[in-house]
Amino acid sequence: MAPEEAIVQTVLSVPTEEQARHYLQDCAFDDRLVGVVMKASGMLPMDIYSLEQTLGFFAHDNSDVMGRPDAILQERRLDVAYLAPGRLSRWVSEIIGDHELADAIDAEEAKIEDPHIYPPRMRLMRELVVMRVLQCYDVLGIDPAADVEKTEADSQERKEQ
Amino acid sequence: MSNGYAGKILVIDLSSGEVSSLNTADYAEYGGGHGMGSAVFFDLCKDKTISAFDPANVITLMTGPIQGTLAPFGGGRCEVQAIGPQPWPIEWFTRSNFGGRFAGMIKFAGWDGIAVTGKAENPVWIDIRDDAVAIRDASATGDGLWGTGTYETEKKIYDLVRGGDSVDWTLYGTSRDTGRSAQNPAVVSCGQAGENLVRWASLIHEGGGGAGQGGFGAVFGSKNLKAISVIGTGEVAIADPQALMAARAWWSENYFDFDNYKPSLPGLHSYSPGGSGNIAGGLARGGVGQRPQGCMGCTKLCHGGRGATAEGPGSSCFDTWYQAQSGVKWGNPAASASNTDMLQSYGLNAWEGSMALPWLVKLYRTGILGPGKAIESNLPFDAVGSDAFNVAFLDCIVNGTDIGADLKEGCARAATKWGRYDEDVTSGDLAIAAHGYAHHYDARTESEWGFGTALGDRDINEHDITWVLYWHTSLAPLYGQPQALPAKEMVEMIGSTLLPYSDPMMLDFSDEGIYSDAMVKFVSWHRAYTRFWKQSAMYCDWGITDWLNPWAEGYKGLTPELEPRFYNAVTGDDTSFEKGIEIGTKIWNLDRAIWYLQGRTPANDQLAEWQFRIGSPAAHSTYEIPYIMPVFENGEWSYKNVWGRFLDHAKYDDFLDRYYAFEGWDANGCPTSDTLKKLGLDKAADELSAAGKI
Repeated sequence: MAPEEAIVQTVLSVPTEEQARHYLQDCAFDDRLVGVVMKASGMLPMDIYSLEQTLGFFAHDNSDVMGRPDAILQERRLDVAYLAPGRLSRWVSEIIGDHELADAIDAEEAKIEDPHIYPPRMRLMRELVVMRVLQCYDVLGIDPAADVEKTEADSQERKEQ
Repeated sequence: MSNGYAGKILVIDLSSGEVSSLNTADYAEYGGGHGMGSAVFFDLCKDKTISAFDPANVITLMTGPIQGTLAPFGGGRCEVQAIGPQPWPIEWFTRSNFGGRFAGMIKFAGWDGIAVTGKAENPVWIDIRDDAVAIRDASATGDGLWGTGTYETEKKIYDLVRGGDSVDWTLYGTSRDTGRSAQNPAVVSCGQAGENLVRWASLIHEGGGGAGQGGFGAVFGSKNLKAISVIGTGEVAIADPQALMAARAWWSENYFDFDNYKPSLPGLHSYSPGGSGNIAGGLARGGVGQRPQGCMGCTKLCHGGRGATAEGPGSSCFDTWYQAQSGVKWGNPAASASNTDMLQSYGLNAWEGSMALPWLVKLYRTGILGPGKAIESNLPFDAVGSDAFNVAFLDCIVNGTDIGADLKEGCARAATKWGRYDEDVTSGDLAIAAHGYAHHYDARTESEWGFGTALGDRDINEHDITWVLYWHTSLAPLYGQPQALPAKEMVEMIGSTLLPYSDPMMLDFSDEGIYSDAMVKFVSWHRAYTRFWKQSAMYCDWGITDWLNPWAEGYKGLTPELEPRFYNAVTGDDTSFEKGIEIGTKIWNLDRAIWYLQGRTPANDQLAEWQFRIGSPAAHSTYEIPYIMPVFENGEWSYKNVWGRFLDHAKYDDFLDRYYAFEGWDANGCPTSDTLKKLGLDKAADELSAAGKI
């Protein structure tokens, strides 16, 4: 499947090293964000403790087909990683402390014609969080591919055992 | 007899080694599957108060007339029942069900079901080759199955039964005309979890088919039974083959067929490229050798999208929840397929593991669990989501080490031992719904699911209403699509199929409607419908109920025509849809009688407390979702988001009182002697009376 085109116009300013460390921190249990993965087999509330984990949460969503008008009928796979309107930006602002990212989410959400339609809202949230997390990785010198390669190698080793 | 039945039920006593049979005709009034299993259990298990691990416990694996035929959604289903170690606080007589080809193979071997009692002195496996039944040595000095995972067990049994020949015809009789097959035997086995009596151990059949809920893997383990293998070379005799083929063609024209794709409605049928196995495909697929896979006789192919290590139909549905919680969420999607494989190989129920993990992480993050903490654990919770953590976590449960010594008893029992149950189940941090089982669909919104669960023995796991009146109705607006039908037309169309009542008010999920007399009627109807048509006739829950059909005029579903049409073509009977509801009511009452013999009281009909306290409060530690259902308010039908409400104790208790009365049960919820005798359950009435229960 072809990569999605970006739908957000916002460009976030590069965080300082101190900000980057702060944005990637885990939050306390009582401060966690809870989203719901809606699947046909059931709905699964998911605790989210960090900005990076929101990406793991959004990975459950099949938004890669949502941009196509026929997707809902043709692709047939409908898993939704749902966060209520305003929920992510408030958490990002109040708990993660990234006011610029929170404002950007709100501003981009405001541009959506019908806020009840989820796919474009999910995509913009994901794009903005990805942008911020990658910025933080870059500032802190973290190679995101390294973790993936290690995980895949570990999994392969387990299969071979 | 050309009526779909093989005619006899296999009975194996592992204590004595005796192999005998029952006459199927003596149980035919129950149809098959669950009804037959309950009746066989009732007759063979003389003392219903025994524990799940008592050798006298009886485990049944039942089929019915349509298994092994081309009846869609039904050809491959197998119903499993016994006193289960998983339910809490009482080990209820309970059930599970799995697909694949085990049930069909039982029929081809000339049996309608298998009942196993007793306990072998040493590990054994049961080898069924048509009429020939042998109890074989599974120990390390025998066939070497004990101590191996489910996948390895299956491979070994394939070799043992086929003499290493996995390509050509294998001869089971004395000549080609007395029995040969090119197929592998169908195997159901427990993994190391079952051997070690983990209360949520499952039974696994091929790659991902399994009886997950109930702890039946541990029942196998308690009997020193590793596996049952069956190869049949016979066939199922159909009463009216022409009618069966005509029904199949009718169904194919009016339903999804993998080879003839037709667009669906939002959220209604979760198909994906390569089969409807997208349920797993998004997360568990390994990208190697994927192909759609389905159960015997079915074209829906729910078990696709995998293939890294699976031998047969791949993991799906519930199985993927565990890897969702254990891998993807933590940014480790690469571990997903192998996490699920490990779970299936050990024979662990994914749903319980999925409930356990977020709860344990909470305990760790709040300083209650960990090294030197109130709940001592040296598991690497700082690396949760990693391969290292998942291996350590599953290993500790299977081997009973670290917190696994308590978690192997299930979350409810562990929470009780740790003194956490009241607090964590009241807060909802430990999301138990009822009977110790994990929350699934929501009692606060979908009363037929939640109330039905409370009144029974386990999470009902019946998606009839869910997919049409929650899933479709909630997803369509999320995607900017119109509802298939206005609320009034929708409930009138579905209500007309709720025979014999035909009352659309049974589908009112408003704040008042969920406690109404009409909902009493609907919960009762739903228990009876699923007990017969889904669990006894055994049409798969993922296939029916067809209440909203994207491919039919006006979206009118194939229910209630589909269910009896195939059943009657196979049996030659004239069983109406309503007759099925009557039989279902009888089975539901038989089960209820067994639970009262086990010591049930009205307290066991309650739901866990958080469902009465937590709706959708503000703050970050909660969530809101669209849960859009039909409601009748101010004299009009509409769709409404009913999320955010919670249950009311007084109204729920009043609902229970009216439900008991509607079913003909006494004030304590026990079926009365009159009710049981009217249903032809005289033996149950007599046994309850002798036990002083009625």
